[in-house]
Amino acid sequence: MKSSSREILLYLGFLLLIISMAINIIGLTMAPSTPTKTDPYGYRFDGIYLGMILINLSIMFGFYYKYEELTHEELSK
Amino acid sequence: MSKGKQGFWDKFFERFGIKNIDDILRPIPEFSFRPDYWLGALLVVGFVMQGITGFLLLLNYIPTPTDAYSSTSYIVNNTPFGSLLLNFHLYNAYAIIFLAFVHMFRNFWQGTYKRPREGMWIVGVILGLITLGFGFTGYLLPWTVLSKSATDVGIGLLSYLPSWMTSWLHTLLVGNGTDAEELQRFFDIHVILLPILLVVFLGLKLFMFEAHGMSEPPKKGVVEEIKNERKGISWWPKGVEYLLTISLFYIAIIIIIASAFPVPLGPMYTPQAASHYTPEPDWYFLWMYQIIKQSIFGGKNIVDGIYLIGLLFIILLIVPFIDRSPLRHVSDRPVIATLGMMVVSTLVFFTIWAYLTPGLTIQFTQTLEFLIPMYLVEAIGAYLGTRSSKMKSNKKLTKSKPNSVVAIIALLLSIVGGSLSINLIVSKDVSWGIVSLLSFTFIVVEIMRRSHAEV
Repeated sequence: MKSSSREILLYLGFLLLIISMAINIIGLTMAPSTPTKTDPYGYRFDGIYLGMILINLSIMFGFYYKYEELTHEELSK
Repeated sequence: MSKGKQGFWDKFFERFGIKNIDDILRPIPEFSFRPDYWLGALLVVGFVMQGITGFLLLLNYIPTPTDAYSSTSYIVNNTPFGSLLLNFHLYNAYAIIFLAFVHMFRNFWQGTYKRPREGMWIVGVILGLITLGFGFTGYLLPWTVLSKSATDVGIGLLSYLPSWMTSWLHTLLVGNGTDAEELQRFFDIHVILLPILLVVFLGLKLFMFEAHGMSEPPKKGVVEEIKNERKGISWWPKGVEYLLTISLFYIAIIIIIASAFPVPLGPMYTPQAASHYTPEPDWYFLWMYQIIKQSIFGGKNIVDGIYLIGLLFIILLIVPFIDRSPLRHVSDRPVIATLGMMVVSTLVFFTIWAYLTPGLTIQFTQTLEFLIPMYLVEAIGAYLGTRSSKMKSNKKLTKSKPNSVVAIIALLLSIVGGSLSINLIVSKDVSWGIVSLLSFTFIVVEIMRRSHAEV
């Protein structure tokens, strides 16, 4: 794959990550954080949203790591 | 970092006498950007997360027998994110213990405990014991019927040992013996003593790590030179980015598990409630529990079971001085590697077996019926693996044939030693049986090792 297409894919990945992050942040603010009588299991979602946000961040750093590698390769050419 | 105009970080680090940010930590070799090289770093991240969540739990936890359970229940049901916090603390503790075992066996396999990293192995084993100490003391704190009964069984085992050995430990753990004192002391050890020990030994390990760096991947038949080169990729920003990637992923997985599968608190401890439960330790102590449950360690002989567990930890501590060959590749040290494989399989097997048979005494003959075929399969597998690996390398190197006379002598010694030890153990002379088993194992290992070194 050409390095320019790899770069476009990485940018697309970043965009998807930001969208996914936004969805999970909204979910986190909506989910109850303690069990209630009307929603005894809903509180379990807070952690799932939080976990998804962290996975997004983890992938973001992974992407950034790869992106730097890519730009480093370009510069060294 | 720009070398011309001074940036903020240049000025900041200048205050600490650091001219270049790259000099703070040693560079990371390129071969080590693989998750298995970062297990130790993940463990540090895990401990930091335990510190943070532990502090947040402390805001509401009360360490008295009357309030411990109710305050834990309050955290779960009334504090925002309380259930997540408590379950994260629990699952992260499980993950730390699991990762510590994986980290240790991975280093064993890679032979990273060899010169000049013997000290790192010893400190690592001590850190492993501290981790188990955290597990043991933390298990009691919710004051549930299961946690209190299992902890009391653990403390009760100390009474079988000679008083000069354990009286100080008994006093440290339970004081005058009341429930209030026991809980308070376990709490103090969990939140003050063990964290201090952890920081000291972790600091020592990191210091040695900085001194020696990462060990290179082992190569067959090659002795690693002690070069102590500071070559590789700078820790900033590449190392930090990699660490953030894997540690955030690790934390995320623990958070998701903690929220999707919260562990129910269980009933509160009362002496009446305890009489209906079979005390069972948490999963990471189950292999020890299975040793104690063997019929040969019944009655007064239980003390031999405790000595055996203690001996296993001592052997683990001195592994670098048992396996003294400078070669690190697993095929260059087949005997030690096979013994390690046997230990791992026994740990897994005993853990599952103890989980399936809570409170049941296990006949030792039954254990042997399982263990002997398992060990035989592993030994034959290891032998065949080593043979095929040697045949491959013999195509390149014309070395002498394997010393078959020595192999036959070692095999005969194993049979004689094994049968003598089993006879002694089954006829209730457990101590001599274990001594004989260990002595014969040592002799056979030494013969194999020396003959291997000569070939």
